[in-house]
Parts: sequence; C-alpha cells; structure tokens
Amino acid sequence: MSPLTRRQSLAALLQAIAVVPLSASFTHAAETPSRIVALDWAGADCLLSLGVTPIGVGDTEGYRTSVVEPALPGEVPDVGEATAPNMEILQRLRPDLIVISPWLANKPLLNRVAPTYEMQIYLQQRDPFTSAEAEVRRMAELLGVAARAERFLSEAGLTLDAMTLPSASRQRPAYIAMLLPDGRHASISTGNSLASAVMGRLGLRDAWTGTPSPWGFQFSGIERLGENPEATILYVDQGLRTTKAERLLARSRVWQALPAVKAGRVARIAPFYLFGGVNAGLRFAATLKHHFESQEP
Amino acid sequence: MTACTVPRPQRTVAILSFSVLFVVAALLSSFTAKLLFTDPLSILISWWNGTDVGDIKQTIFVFVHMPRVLLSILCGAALGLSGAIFQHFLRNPLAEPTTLGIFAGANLALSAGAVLFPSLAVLGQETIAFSGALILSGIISFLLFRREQSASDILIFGMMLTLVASSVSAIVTLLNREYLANVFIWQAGSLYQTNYNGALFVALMLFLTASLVIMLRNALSLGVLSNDVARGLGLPVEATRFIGLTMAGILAAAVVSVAGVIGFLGVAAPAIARLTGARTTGSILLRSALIGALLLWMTDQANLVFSHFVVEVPTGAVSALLYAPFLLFLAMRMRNRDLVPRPVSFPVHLSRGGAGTKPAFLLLGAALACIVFTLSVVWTAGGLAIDLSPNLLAWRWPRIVAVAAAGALLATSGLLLQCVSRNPMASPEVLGISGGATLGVVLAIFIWPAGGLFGAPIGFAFAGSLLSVAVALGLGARGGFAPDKVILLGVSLNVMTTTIVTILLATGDPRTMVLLTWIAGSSAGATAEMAIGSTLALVVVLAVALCLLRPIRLLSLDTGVARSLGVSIRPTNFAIYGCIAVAATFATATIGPLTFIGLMVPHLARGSGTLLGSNLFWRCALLGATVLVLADWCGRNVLYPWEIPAGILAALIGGPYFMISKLLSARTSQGGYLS
Repeated sequence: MSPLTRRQSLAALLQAIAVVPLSASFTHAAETPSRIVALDWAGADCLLSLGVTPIGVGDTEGYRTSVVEPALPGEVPDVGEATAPNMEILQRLRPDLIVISPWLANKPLLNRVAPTYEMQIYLQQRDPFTSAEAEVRRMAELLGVAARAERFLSEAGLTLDAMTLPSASRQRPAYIAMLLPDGRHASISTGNSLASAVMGRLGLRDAWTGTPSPWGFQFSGIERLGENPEATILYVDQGLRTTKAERLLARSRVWQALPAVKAGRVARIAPFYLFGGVNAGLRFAATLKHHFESQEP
Repeated sequence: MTACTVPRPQRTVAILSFSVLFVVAALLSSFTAKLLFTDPLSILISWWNGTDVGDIKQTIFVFVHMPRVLLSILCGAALGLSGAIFQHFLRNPLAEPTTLGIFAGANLALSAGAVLFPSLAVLGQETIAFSGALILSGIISFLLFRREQSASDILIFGMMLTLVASSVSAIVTLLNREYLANVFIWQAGSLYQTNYNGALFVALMLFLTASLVIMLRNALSLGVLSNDVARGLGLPVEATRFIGLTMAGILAAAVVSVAGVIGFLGVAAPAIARLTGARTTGSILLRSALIGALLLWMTDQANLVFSHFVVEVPTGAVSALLYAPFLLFLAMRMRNRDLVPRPVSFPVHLSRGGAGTKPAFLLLGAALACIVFTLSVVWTAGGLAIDLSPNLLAWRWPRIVAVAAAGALLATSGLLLQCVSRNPMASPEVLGISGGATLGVVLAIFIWPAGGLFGAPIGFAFAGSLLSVAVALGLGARGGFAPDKVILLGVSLNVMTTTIVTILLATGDPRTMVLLTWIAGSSAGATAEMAIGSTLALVVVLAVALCLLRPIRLLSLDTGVARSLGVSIRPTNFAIYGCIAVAATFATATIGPLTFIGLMVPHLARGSGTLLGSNLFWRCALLGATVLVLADWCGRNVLYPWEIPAGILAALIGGPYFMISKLLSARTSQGGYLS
C-alpha cells in the first residue's frame, strides 16, 4: 500500500467528519443488490430460499436454534442483535442492501450504511403466510431471480398440498399455544398468526373465537383454552419452560377441567419460528402432519 | 407523624364512607359475576351441592373467579396494613412496599434468577419472588431500624432499586431473547389464580401479622413518641422497630410472590384512612387494612369489566396508575417540618490551596488518552487491533464524543443536584427526567405507525424529558424549591412511566424490544449533530455552574444562610435546576435513561478531598466523560460482535456502588455521606 498523499488524507478526513458517509450515498445507483445483510430472520429465510447467501445475519446463533431451516452456512458472520446491530461490522461488510423488520430496526441509522428493505409479513392486511409468499416474489424481483421465486413457491405449494391431514383431525379446530412456566397463563394464537394461516391452508380451523390481536398471539389465562369445547390444544415445545408448565398444570383443576384435556386432545408439538417466513410455515405444517398422523390408530 | 389539617370528622362519617365503598365494590362484583357467568348463583349452588354439571364454567367460577375476588381483598388488606406499619415506624407517609423498593427486590431476583441461575427455576416463580422481596425488606430493616431517615432518602433508595431492577430485566431480555412473558405478567401484577393456594398463603401471613400487631399494640402506640421519650418509658425502641419493619416486609413479600407488583396501594390506603379521621395508631392500621381491601377489590372488579369490553390490562399496573397520584398529592402537602433535617454534607470552607485545588491536569490527560484509545482500538474477529479507516471513524467519533459529553453532563448535573438539594444520594435519574424521556420514546414507538419513524425517539426523548422537567420545575417552584419536594415529584413522575412501560411489556408486543434497547442505553445511534449539540450543552452548563459557584456553595449549606448572604433564591434555583435539566436531557437522549453516572461520579471526584469549588466541577466532568467512554468501549467490545449498551454497563457498576455506599453510610450515625 502506497503512503497516502496529502490530498487523499484530507479527503479521508473530510469523509470521516461527514455526517453521511460517502459510500452510502452512492449505493442507490447500484441496480441489483448482491451484498445483502439480513437483520430480520424471515428475511434471511427468504434470501436463502432464493439461493442468495446473505453476507451477514443478525444473531446467527439465535437463527440456528430458532429458525433452523433453511440452514445458514457456517461462514456467515454475526452482525449482532437486530435492534442494535454492530454498525462497524456492518460498515466493514459494505452491504448494498439491509433487510430489516420494520418495527425492530433503526432505519435512518442503517440507511447511512446501505438502503434498507422492510419485510412486510406481519401487521399487514392479509394473513402472514400469503404475505410471506408475496415477500418472496417482491424480493426476487429486486434481486432479478423471479424464476427462482416461482420455482420455490410452487414447490412450497406442492409440499403443502401434499400434506393432507387425516380427515378426522380436520373435523376439530385447534388452539396453538405456548404454556408459560407459571402454570396459569398461556400465549394463544389468535387467528392471524403464521400458524393459523398455515392451518387454514391445511384445512384446519383455528379454535380461537375472540378478537384477533395484532401480533397473532395473546397472553391469557389458561381457562380461555376451554372456550371452544370441540378443540384440540397443541402447545409448542419450549424446553424447560414447557416442562415446568406441564408439571404445574398436572395439578391444576382448571386445566384438568378443560374439555380438550378431559378428552385427551392435548399434545406438545415441535417448535417453529413464530415470526418467520415461508419455510417456518412449512416446518409448522410438517409438525402438524406428523402430530396428526401419529394420532391415527 | 404527619397530622392532618382537616377538621376531625365524626366516627359516623368514617363508617358511612366504609359502607359506601363496600356497597360499590359488592355491586361491581355481582355485576361482573353476572356479566361473565350469566347465572353465578346457580353455579355456586350446584357446586355447593356437589353436583358436577360437567360445565367448565363451574370450575372457572369456583377456581378462577372466586379465588381472584378473595385474593384481591386479602392482598389489598395486606398492602394497606404493610404500608401503614412502614409509615408508622419510618414516620414517613410515603413509605410502602413499592416506594421502599421491596417489589423491585423481588423483580431483581426473578429476572436475574431466570437467566443467571436457570436451575433455580425449579423453585418456581413464587419462591424466587418471595425470597427476593424478603432479602430486600431484610436490608431495609437493617438499614432503618436504628434511626430515622429523611423522606426522600428512603424513597430515593427505593427508586434506585426499582431502576436497577428494570435495567437488569431489560438487559436479561435483550441478551437472551428468551421470552420472559411470565415475568412481564408478574411485573404488571396479575390477580389471576387457578386455585386457592395463593389466597391461603396471603391470609396466613395477614393473620400472623395482625395477631402480632394486637400483641404489640401498646408498644406500637408509644412509637408515635420520639425515640428518646419512648426509650425513657421503657420501650425497647430498636427491637420494636425491627420486628415491625420485618412484619411489614414479610406481608409485602407474600403479596408480591402471589400476585406480582401491585403498586402504591400501600400509600393510598393509609392516606385515605387518615382522611377519614383515624388518629390513633390502632385505628390507622385497622382502617388502612380495611380500605386497602375494599380499594383493591373494587379496582380489580372494575378492571374485569374494562377487560371484558375494551382490553385486558393487569390489575397491578392499573392500581399503580390510579394510586400513584396519592404520592404526588402527599409530597405536595408535606410541610418542611415533616422532612427530617439532615446534616450538611459538603464541606464548604472557602479555602484556597491545600489538597485538590491544583487544576485537574492529570484527569484531563487521562480523559484525552481514553478518547484517543477508544477512537482507534477495536476488537475485530482477529483480536484487538488499531483501525483508523475513515469510513469506520465516521461512525466512531460522533459516538465517542457524544458519550463523553453525556458522561460529563451527567456528572455535572449530579453534582449540582447533590449540592442544591443537599442530598448526597440525589441523581438526575430521580428528577423524573429519565421517566419523561422514556415516555417520549414509548409514544414514538407505539403510537406512531410501525416502521419508518425509528429515528424519532431521540426527538421524542427530548420532548418528553423537557416536559417532565417543566412539570417538576413548575410544581417545584410552587413548593418553594424545597429540595426534598423536588425529588419526590421526580420520583412520582418516574413511577408513572415505569408503570406504563410495564403494561406495554405485558402485552407481549415485539416492539417492546426497541423500547428495551433504548432503556438499556445504547449509544449506537449517536449522530454528529448529537455529538456537537451535547458538547455545546456541556460548555453552557459548565459556564453557568462556574458563574454561580458562590450561590451554589451557599445553597448547599442552607436556604436561610444563602438568603441572608444575599442570594436571591428563586432565580438562582431556576437557573440551577434549569442547568440540571438541560444537562440530563441531552445526556439521556444520547445514553438512555439510566447510568447512575450522576450519582457515582460526584462521590468519586470528591474522594480525594476536593472542596466544592470550580476544581470539583472540572474533575467531575472529566471523570464522568472518562468513565462513560470506557463503559461504551467495553460494551462494544466485550461480547463482540454483540453490543452491550453502555448505559446499562454503567448502571451495573453504579447501582451496586450506590447500594454499598448506602449500606456503609448506614453504619455511621451521620446522615449518609461517604467520607
């Protein structure tokens, strides 16, 4: 490396002092982004499904334990927590696009590094699974891989269509819940979550009868799982917390009085990422199929 | 004790008001039962007869609804009694489990325990919360049984603890992404039960305490006398106090372990009891328990109706919002003679020469070295390295300058506040500025449509803190800037915002993550404008402080002394509190609401025996900048690539520092300053 000339060092100094780094202001000119950082896990899911490996992901370890699929290549660097990513790493990675969750990311700050792309899956007018599919198309268009998107989506659609649940199981609506370790409360899917959208695709009704909450889940007392007496209760496995809840609920008169519990229509199911994209939905679908098939005599 | 100025109402008035409260609560109760269960009476009768109608409604009525009603009454009584006992022994109408920080102790145990010692989880939420609250009330009994503390000292202690607890719970949530939903629900205070165990436990504790109170009633009624007189009459003052405080603490711990945080009922119930004309210790205790029970019963039933028609809100938080204004009301009503005078804490000899009067060149050098070091050295994937590439420096310098300025501003405003409030435990956090700023951020995140507006929190934080300062200054000016009043107002403001944040957390909205990041105090968003703005603010604040050095010294002695020596109190106070507010506002916008720099650094700066003079201000500013810049650097590099917000790192050092210094100062008979 040659020593800096006076003019170069002056330029560097000016650039260092400038409020907006020069590098960021040029990126708008680039046509197809190729160096993409995903702070949003559904975004990472979407990118990997389109065959694009992100050059950085927020909380890679969390992604590998919570999202699991599609698998994140081991060499993808961690850029820190989604709400407070490490800006210097981001700057070093020189991304030309940052994929974010609209409600979690500091957009003006990130825009100083690269343009941002908001994943619009949750808090939308339509159900999260349809939104997730639309997001794959929208991103594919931006990346110029529209054909790849159609291939992926039709494969996903075929996979879902192939997952016919046993007809007996489709007669009953189901609650999807997470049991809290206090043995009294549960976080219940309220009909506009990714889970209930996927259930709808599989011909399974969501048992929640109240008003839906904006995020698709609501904390409630366990007795609300009895409002729909026909229902099955499926609760997501959250490891130790769920085990703790189960132990307390075994002694709870209210839990034992729930129609689903009385009839033995209650089961623990494998975890999936609640705020995920298409692949998270497929994982949940597979879990449902696995559960109901094992119930068959 | 604070005697009421209201003319003493007749006994019948008291009985009448109790009956009205009871009738309202009972009517509400039957209304909700009708609303939720259509025919509660037949459900009850069929259950009593042992007929299982096979309807889940019966189980819900008997094992969810009835325990809830019972628990609300018992918890209300327990909190009312606990508050009244605390207030009796501490001779402070504002003392109660929330303000004393007992609930914060339970919170701290729960959130820290959930993550640091996951194996403890087998004990269950109730046990952990109970032990946390118990440990804390033990500390309080230990600290306070021997001597009386001024009203604001006790409250600041509790407030600080509450703030530490909320920051610990923020960091725990942020770093783990583990969903602590049950802790959030608990923090917001939920009376929801699925059996009678909780109610039985609280009833047992209530029974034990009540019988102790009856046994000790003679000693208790002597407690209104001054310590010396009581001792002269043969009363073991310390022992009685210790037993009393411990009882009240156990009662609070029982409630918090079963139902979570139910705020400020312990302030409201005894206050109303006194308004109904209760004068003797016995009648105050009895009526406080009764009123507490009726109030919480009523609040909870009203909240059930609200939840049914509008949205589910935890009862504990509702109670905090409803009854926190009592704190404000009582603080405004307190007369100066109720505030125990404290010894002068700052040596104010106007000596020149001697230790520490040399300019703080050494500190200046250290601060500059720190800034250069943190600007150039970073942790990378390959270890520590010097990296001066311009596009990275463009990120680093605004951040470091803003953080340095924030540290200096916080330390300076802390020193100013400690001087003029004559309270060595005061810090900008207790002025309500952090609360106001947090409220602004809450508005920015939740009221504004999702997305796009993230940059706004800084502006909103600014607006929020300015507003809270305006409120505090306005009310403070009305109270003649009585130092303790200003602090009590700030505490009340803080409490309101903490409660609102708690309610939001308990909804499970994912956007709370952003709020938590802000509370934790991340400096990552610092811009060049903020860096320059804060630096300018620092220059102004320091200039004003140095110009007003003489009035500040005199005010730190005594208002009367200052007035007689020609200080015009009101304008000077306005200028100084204005300075404190500006400094804390700028700092809060950069580094979040919580650092304890303003508490800790003035103490450290004085450690070498520097007198209250211009030199102390320089030292404070430099030390504050150095400490916070180092904390920021550590936060960026310790868990690389993850960032630990600098504010919380500072708070995790400052909080314990505060507690330890408080514990140490409790051992000396003097009024609380370290040296």
